[in-house]
Amino acid sequence: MEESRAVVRTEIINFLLEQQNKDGSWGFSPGKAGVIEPTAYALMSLASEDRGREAVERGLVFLRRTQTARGAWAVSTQDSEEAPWATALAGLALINFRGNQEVCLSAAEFILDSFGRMPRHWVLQAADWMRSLDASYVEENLRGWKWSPDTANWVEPTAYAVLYLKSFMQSSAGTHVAGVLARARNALRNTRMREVLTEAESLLSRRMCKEGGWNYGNSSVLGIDLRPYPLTTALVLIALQGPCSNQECHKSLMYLREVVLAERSALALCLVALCFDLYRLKTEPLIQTLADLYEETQFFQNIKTSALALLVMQSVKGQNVFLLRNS
Amino acid sequence: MTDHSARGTQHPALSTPHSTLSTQRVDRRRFLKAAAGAGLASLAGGCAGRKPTWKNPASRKPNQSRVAILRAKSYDQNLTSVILDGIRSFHLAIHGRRVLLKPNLVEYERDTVINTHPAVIGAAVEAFLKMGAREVRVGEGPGHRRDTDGLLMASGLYQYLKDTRTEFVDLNLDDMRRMSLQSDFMGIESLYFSETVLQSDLLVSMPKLKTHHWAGMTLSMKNLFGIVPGIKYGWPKNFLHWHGIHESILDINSTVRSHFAIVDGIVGMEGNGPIQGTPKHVGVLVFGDDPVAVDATCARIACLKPENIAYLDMANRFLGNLEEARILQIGEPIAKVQSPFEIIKDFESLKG
Repeated sequence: MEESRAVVRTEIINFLLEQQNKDGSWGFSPGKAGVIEPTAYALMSLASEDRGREAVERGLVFLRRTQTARGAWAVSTQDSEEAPWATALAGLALINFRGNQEVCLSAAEFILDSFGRMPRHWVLQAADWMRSLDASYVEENLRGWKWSPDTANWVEPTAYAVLYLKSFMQSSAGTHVAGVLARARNALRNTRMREVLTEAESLLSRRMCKEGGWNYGNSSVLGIDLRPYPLTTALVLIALQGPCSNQECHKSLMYLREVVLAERSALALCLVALCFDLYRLKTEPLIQTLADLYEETQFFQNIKTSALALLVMQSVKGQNVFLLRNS
Repeated sequence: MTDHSARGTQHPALSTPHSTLSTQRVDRRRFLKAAAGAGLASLAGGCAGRKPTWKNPASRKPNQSRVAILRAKSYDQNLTSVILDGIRSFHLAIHGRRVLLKPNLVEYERDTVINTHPAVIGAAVEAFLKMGAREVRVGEGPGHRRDTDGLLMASGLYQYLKDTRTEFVDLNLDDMRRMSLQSDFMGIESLYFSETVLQSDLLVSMPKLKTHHWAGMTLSMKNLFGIVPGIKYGWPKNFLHWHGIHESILDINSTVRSHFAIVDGIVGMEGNGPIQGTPKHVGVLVFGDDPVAVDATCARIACLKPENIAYLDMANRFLGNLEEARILQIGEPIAKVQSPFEIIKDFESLKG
């Protein structure tokens, strides 16, 4: 079994190295234009592979070159609109490499600036304000992150942004900042970041489905409860990682354990495996299913899934790329 | 009501996870009222005096359309021959062309019928190859699931694709190109579309015959939401909802033309579609090269009034034919296959 997994690992690394575009990016599948998401995962996964050094260097150059003046990234080389969720992923890919402090800082600031509410008609806003005068009022339109500007907040972009901001705070903690003004600015930013994280985590908590776990957005529509999905549940648990003392974490992990053995999506299985590893749950059966799926489908030549599978294999050896040290 | 307010009422119902039920209902009623009734005025009247228009290439309403309704009792029968008969009823140029089949693959739940059945897709692949297509690919960009690989496996489509050695393109993750919209209902100038779709010679929309709790019915026109890439607009493609479902359907269909439609009406979905509805056996496949006429015919098969579906009524002005008198029925007459679909309360007005 070990031998066959080593073969899969080698094949995935070869695949990732072969599929890097000339500009240093990766698309979602062979021959496609560069997209931040597969590029970020490919970089994260190749970072600890000796054979990946040159590709990683080129990938880092690509990311630094495509960051906008406001510290953001667009989702793809075929688009120019800045996207907070793509920025969070690019930041996660860059944060563990030396010399990217400024790049990561501006990414974090862009993400903070794009934190916002779902737009509401002014009449509804006025009604919200009136209701807020009541002591029992609970804010429903919590701030978070969107897929596209001026739309609603969704689970996945919010989870990516939360994970990045936490990683950024962790990586910048203990960094020496020279000068009184700079230190004050730093302290202010950290305070704001903590406030933003508290509200964003609260938004994620409130969107949990009745049975535990997360859907892509709403937990119910037209009064009917929606079911959660393994992929989004794993992603949120990765973002919320910490001591699993609260009920939502327990319920959601229990949901994942119940459904994951029947899961046939390699993409979802990779995220669940990385999540289980963070929460110290068994990942072995998932890794076996992943290996079987690879044999059957080669993950449909999907570069993001392939990179995530490599990250899963690395996590078995104690290197979980999503692990926050102080969680 | 202006289309701005119509869009505004739509937002919380579609997007707010923690709206109270009553808020959702109020917003929903207001939206549906706008969309199904006065909504036609909102589509026509535009925002702040802006009158939606369409450019010449989008004006493709023929004098007469043809729609074929062919019986197909079950998914176990030889569907390839039925589909060949359906395609041959039209003068489609297929030989040497690149065909892209766009089924409806949304979600998988055992014991329900959300997606275009893999047997219909597999049969369509075979039929188009037999008709001399140079290449037949299947492409879909599911509306809210990112794990398309899991959907392919669970729905059984993977096996059909493997058996027929057919390439699948995840349109959510495809290369994309920005296109100027050929009509102006959403109030924006352009949208990104999948490059594979734009490069295909023959785009075949293959929806499931289903009710839809926001749009009334989802058929070949609504099915084109899947050619808009998720990587740009997210999962779900909230951007389209935000700009109005009816408005988005019109702008997408005026900009990218689906050349042919094959509707899986063997088992459709009634009630709270497109995901949580109930299976409904109808036993037909519906074919046509005018998406408006195909969708209007499907609505009539379900005993619903197409002229009360806002986007179809508006599409009738420039994209295709809705009136029965302008649609030549081939195969089974509508009356012979009609089967009343249950519909949620908000869409009672669609009933004849």
